Amino acid sequence: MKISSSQKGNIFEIQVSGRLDAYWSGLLDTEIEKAVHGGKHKIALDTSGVEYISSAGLRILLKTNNRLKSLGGKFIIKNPSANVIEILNLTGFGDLFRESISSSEDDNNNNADDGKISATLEASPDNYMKCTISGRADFWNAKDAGSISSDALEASENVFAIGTAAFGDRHESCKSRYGEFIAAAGAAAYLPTDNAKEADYMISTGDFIPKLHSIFSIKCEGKFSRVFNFEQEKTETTAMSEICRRALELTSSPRASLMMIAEIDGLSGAFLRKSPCEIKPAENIFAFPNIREWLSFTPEKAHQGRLAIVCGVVGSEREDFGGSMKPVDMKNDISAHLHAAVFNYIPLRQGKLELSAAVKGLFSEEKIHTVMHLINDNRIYSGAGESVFSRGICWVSPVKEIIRKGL
Amino acid sequence: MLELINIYKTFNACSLSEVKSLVNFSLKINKGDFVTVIGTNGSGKSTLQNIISGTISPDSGSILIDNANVTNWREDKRASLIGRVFQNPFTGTAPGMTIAENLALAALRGKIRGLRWALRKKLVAQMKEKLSTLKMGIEDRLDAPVGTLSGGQRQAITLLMASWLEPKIFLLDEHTAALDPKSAEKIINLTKEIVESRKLTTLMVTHSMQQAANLGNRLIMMHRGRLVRDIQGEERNRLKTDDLLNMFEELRLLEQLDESAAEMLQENYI
Ligand SMILES: Nc1ncnc2c1ncn2[C@@H]1O[C@H](COP(=O)(O)OP(=O)(O)OP(=O)(O)O)[C@@H](O)[C@H]1O
Ligand SMILES: [Mg+2]
Repeated sequence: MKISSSQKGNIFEIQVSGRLDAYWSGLLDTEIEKAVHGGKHKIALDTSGVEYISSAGLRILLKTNNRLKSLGGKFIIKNPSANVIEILNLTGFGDLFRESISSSEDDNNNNADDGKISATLEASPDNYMKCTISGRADFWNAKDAGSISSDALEASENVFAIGTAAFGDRHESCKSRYGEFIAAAGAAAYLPTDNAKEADYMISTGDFIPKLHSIFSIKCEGKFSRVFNFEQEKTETTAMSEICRRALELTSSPRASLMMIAEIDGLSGAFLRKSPCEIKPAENIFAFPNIREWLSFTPEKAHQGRLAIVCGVVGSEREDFGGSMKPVDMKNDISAHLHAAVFNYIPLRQGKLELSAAVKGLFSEEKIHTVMHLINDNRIYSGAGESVFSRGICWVSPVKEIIRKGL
Repeated sequence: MLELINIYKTFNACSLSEVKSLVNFSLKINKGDFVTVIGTNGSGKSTLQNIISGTISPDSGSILIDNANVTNWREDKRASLIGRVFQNPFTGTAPGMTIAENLALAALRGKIRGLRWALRKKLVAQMKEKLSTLKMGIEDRLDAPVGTLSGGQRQAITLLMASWLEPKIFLLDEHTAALDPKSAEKIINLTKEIVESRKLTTLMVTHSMQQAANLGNRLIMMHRGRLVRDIQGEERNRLKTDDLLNMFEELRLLEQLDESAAEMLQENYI
């Protein structure tokens, strides 16, 4: 038995030969899984050398066929040997694969669809975002916990927001839970700090809009003006800082709002473990080891292979957006404040991706692992660096108006 | 039943090799509780058991068993209150003595009489009965020297001996870790049987996440001499091995938040 693979045009071809028994089916499954994960959604299985297919092998063929179809891709059984055709017919799967079976080489010349992710952009380049900053980011400089105030925030369809918040409609009931939050396109998630280990989330449905209370928030309201996608070229990954630069370039603006769905190569981030309302007078939350009660971070890049929704703001002025911006890399020219929600991996459907549907789909179908504040761990030898992604799609818009609330 | 109050124990104090094995350690265990103890290497699990048994004494703090303050009791005075099984199956039994003689030693602990006299009919019958529950086929080998038994068989006998007189506190320290998987499984089943049928108040140290998650009604996690997690009640019932692995991962992450990371976060976290 042998399994090998190669890219032929826009088709990823896997050659198998020998007996496709239960053992080799497992290996083939892994190989296909790897390819799908790597963005190959058009796969041809060259079966010219296959002598036998067991039920386990048939199961893999069926599974792959269904999976690729649901992703808008394609599964082709190429050059099937007489044995393969016989088995498919005998088991009654012949019809199912009729369309998929191909003996010609020229399936590769169809270049209409380049297999990349792209997005619909229903609006014009004139779109922009209005931004409202509420509360203060540096809660640790508050006189005492009692002086920390909060503000209601609704995660409506056109709101893209990050900060420190909790689900609820009163400060009193949220007090012990405030944590990192993200809101995008009618969905919202936050990481509670009251010992609950899991991120909590809500999705707007019908007349229902998720309600949060925040002690600090950057809320962008409006529509995106541009969208771009990026894909890992062989070994290179795309860094968060590159995406931020691209966002400012594309919007020709000193400050922009950003929303992205991307496959994670490694996230570098930190998150609150304790509600800011628990702070004691004159407490230094950054002092070691006290900081361990307050913050957690990713000592090495985390969540590789999962999916992230990243939301936030980027700009060339650090003092913008309530002074909560931090340099995205060592160059120090661009700063950002970004949060990420981390989900189980599903391949991004190739072809057109509609923002609201994509976000809601992720929130409602995939397990959400965590919400974190992205950082650039700039320690020279031991730092995890900045977050990197293998492929994704990013919506951006210039921020034209900043309103400061509740200082 | 068992109460540890603000126990401190430091080895090699004020030297380069100073280790704080227990730091302000407090724990209260109710009668009949079956507590599994997990923690990284060197987190103080064995030290904790040594402090309870009186093998070592704490620098400060007190130990109460059944409301009696035993902090200053010597180990031999506490011996009748405590049953102990260690990792090494060869330490709990005397290899040159027969199975019957070993068991008699345990059954007559504190009553120093001739062994011959001790091996009366009633006791022998009791021994046979208990040994037959092991299903190891050793109930007919009462006169065989313990040294001729396998590690698993010896550990089973050690368990019987340590629990024979229904100790107030039953201490198990990785008592299946040195056994092959099959023997370990037998010993753990036997442990569960003994602890549950006699409602022994038990502290069982284990490195097996399966054992920790599947046995007992309470779980504690130790780290650097401190109690870092104490899980009981409903939360304990729902605990799975994955949760335990996550707890260790969390600890690992926490350890990495050192002074340099603290400085970095002060600079880079909003
Ligand atoms: N008698 C002793 N003298 C010096 N140091 C000791 C002594 N006993 C224990 N220690 C030290 O105290 C710390 C805790 O040891 P302990 O044996 O209690 O850990 P443990 O949790 O049982 O670890 P393991 O999982 O490896 O059995 C270790 O750093 C150990 O080296
Ligand atoms: Mg130990």
